[in-house]
Amino acid sequence: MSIHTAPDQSKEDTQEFMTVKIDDQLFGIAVYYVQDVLASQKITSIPLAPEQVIGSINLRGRIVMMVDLRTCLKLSSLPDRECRKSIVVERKGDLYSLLVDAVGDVLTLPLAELTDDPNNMPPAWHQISDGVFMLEGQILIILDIEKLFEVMLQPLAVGDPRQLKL
Amino acid sequence: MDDLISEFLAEESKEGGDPSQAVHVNIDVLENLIKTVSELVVTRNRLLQLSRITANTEFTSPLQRLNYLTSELEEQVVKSKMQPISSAWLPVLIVETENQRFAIPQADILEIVRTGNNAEDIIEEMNGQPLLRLRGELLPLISLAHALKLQAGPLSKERHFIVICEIGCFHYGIIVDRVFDTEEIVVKPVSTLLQHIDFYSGTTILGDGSIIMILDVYGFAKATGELSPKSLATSVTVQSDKEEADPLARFLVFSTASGSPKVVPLELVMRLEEIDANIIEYTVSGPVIQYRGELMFLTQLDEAILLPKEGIIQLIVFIDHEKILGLVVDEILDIVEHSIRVTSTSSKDGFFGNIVIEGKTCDLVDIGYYFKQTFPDIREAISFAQQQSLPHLLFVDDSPFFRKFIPPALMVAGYYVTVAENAQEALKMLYCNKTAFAAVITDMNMPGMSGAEFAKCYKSDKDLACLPVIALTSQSSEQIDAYVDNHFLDAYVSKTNHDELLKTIATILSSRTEAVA
Repeated sequence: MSIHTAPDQSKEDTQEFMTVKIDDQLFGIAVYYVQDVLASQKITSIPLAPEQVIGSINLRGRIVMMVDLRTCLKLSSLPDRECRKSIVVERKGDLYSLLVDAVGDVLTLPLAELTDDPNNMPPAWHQISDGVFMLEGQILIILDIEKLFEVMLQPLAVGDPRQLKL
Repeated sequence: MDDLISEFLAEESKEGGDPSQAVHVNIDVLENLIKTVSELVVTRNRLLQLSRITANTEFTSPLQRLNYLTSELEEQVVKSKMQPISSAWLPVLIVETENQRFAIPQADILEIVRTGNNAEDIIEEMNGQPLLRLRGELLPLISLAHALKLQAGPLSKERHFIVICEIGCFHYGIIVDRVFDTEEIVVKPVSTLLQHIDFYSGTTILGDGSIIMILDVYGFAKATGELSPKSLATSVTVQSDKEEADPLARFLVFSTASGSPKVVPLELVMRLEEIDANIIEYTVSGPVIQYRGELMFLTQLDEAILLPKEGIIQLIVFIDHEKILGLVVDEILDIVEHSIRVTSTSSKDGFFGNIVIEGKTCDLVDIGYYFKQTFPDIREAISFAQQQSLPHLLFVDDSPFFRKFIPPALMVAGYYVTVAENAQEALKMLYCNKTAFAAVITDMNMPGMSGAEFAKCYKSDKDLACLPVIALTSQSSEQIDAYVDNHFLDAYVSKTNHDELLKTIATILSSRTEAVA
């Protein structure tokens, strides 16, 4: 499955979101970020990588960093990482694949219904959230991909010399 | 960035091709083309590997055709000068530790030593730090498994391989479990998420489709603790672009059979080699060796001394106009960062003059002279046959060093260069023929009239007002931003940054051509 939709193609007042499940919570990612949805992959681990980075995969000759959204959301990671689905997003020319528990439908939602995060949302979630939709029976948290990468790259940019002790 | 246009000859293979056949291609298109070719090569390798396992299927014949076409395409891409723009084919050694594979660039490897289990060499320890005695030298070692935190605790006494790496004149060893083949790979940049890790210089996909990290030998050298941050900074030559304002240059210091130490700008050096004297062949045009499928001509600073007939010979390898020149030296001594102040100029051919480095007077070698001596046809080919059609640049600098250092690089890049020693001389040349030059490159700080005054002066002439000027400087970029705003400068580049200078010239010339058209 592969979805390519430019942001200006959707009507101004609605937007399409790919829904994913993480720890029974529904999250949404704007579809124009989504390049691909992958089933289980052979992951090559990378020593010393940040904890969110599980490793890299070879996606048709391109190297893609596999990022565990559970770790980003400060949830405990699951052992069956190689068997789960992931969403490929592109940012500044690099490809990343975000590992999720399950992939749901694509929903077209009116942006006017997007509301602010509730006050008691965990800080790690609030940092990367763009707001929530109150759907029937459940709440959809919209993930802001830009914020997600900002949060991931911030501690690395400070210059972590990782002085090595043997 | 989109207006950054690169000019290249579509088919280099047509020797002496007409320069008017040059085409303009957006650099993004080139980048994509190269990326696609690299991926095609990788896929081809993978298919070949699979086909070796299952012999003689109906795929064999089309595969051979694919193999042939891919090789040809690869060769064409390498031949046209597009290749260095984004990715590079790099020979690497594949090693393994804790069942994980990594690649080490071949160019950084001196040799491989086996230890443990009845092997001659053993790993010793001093205060928990591993060491290896090798031919009288005590080498610091670093365990790949420990450095990458794949293993903790003491080093096992089992069999190991030690990859001896070299940075300048500093040697050390990386301990690995196994050593596999060498492979030619296409280097891909490390993801932003991993750029803070010192130990990786790139990543790649191998022929079998697996992903592998390329190790950064500088990072490991730093981790051995043997290199002081200062000496390491001078060894790492290509890493940082942020040093544009740095007025220093890096020099390779070496010794020859006689006289004081010699130095050559590191930027000109392609690589260092050790060869066995018995592979030297003596042709009528001089001693040569067969080097990576081409001929490398050998030269010495003192021709009176005969080359040794046996033993190991140290070479500094230079490449210019696709000619390979190996300078025979006694010993590589050091890499130093030093100001480019030539203390005295030399009248002897082949030398610029003297530089005092750490209290010792060194001779600064003019490698261009030795190229001319060895390949007499190089300069003539440029200056007569093609000079009419090449873009003509005026280069103004009061420093004799830079007058000898920069124009050759511009000529190699396909420009015809006229040199002036000061602003007055340059003005005379400009007024003499107002349409002769395509661009002016000037030093900023010159006695008498400064570069900025010079630019203002000639641009007040309406015929010369459109002639672009690129300022060379050793000042910080903030200071220069002010210059570009207030004065008549079109661009500025650090004196020691050749690549940036070439890029800037190309950009300015192509935007000018567009404006005229």
